Amino acid sequence: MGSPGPVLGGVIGETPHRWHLHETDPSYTPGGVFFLLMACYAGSMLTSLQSQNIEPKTGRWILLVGPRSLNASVLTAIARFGERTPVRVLDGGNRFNAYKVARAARGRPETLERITVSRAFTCYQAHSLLESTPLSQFPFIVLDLLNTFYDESVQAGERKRLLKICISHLERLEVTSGGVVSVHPPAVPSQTAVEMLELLQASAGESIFVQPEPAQPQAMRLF
Amino acid sequence: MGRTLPSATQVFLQEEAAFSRFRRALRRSDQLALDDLFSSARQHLAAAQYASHALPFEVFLLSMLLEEHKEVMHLRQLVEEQLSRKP
Repeated sequence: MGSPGPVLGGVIGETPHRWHLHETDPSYTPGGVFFLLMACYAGSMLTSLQSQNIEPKTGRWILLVGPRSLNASVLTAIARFGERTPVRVLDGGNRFNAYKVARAARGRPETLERITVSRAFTCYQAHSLLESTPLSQFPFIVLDLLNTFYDESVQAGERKRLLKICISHLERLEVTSGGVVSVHPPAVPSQTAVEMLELLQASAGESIFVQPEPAQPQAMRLF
Repeated sequence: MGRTLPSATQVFLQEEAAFSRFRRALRRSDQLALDDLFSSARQHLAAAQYASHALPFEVFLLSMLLEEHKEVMHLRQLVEEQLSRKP
């Protein structure tokens, strides 16, 4: 895994025009800024399948950046953690699908009982959720942390202020247990989103960018 | 605030869609039988929702089994009636 900080700064400085891609631009993709950043991390790119084997370690938290399809792998990873140790899941984007986790855990109640879930639906709730999470020796997983921070009805400065507090709580939690924080690109690319990702990267012990898996070839329909 | 879990109907439709390739590979007569099984499970979606089982597909399978057993019981009753009428 490379050290992402300087590379990220370079990209932002060199290609600011990419922030303002419009839908009429042929190179426009939703969340294009994030994918542009991801393209600069060839050394730290993983597939969704590999991301299931990420192991949280005490003293640092891992930042997982990838498309929304990455969520299925993260849910499988949660079930794997639950087989061995209690896991705390903090859901920032309503991404925790209990049915998928139950299926990955093969429905075993002892595994499912080790997984506790808390959800936040606004950035203020995300803040209070992290604030109220006590120190524990068990790993924590934050799903789609930035989702509530993309809400433009809250001023950008306020969102960044709250995110900084959230990061300080992540740093507090990593002291006794490792963790994984997943982040997905916003529906509409924005500079604030990139700045918030930068903040997270600066604090993360490791940043992993997961590339979207290529679409499976579909058999042509005969009729 | 949205849903935190998909409803039983949504899960059922997802499961049905997941078997679309399997269905496509079946013979026409088997496709109709499979459709019957899924429609029998669909009759018990409210109960499946109420059950809140961690593995909803197990409930759907049990719903199919339930309808099959109802059919068996009905046929058994008809056979017994026929047998009792004979001298």
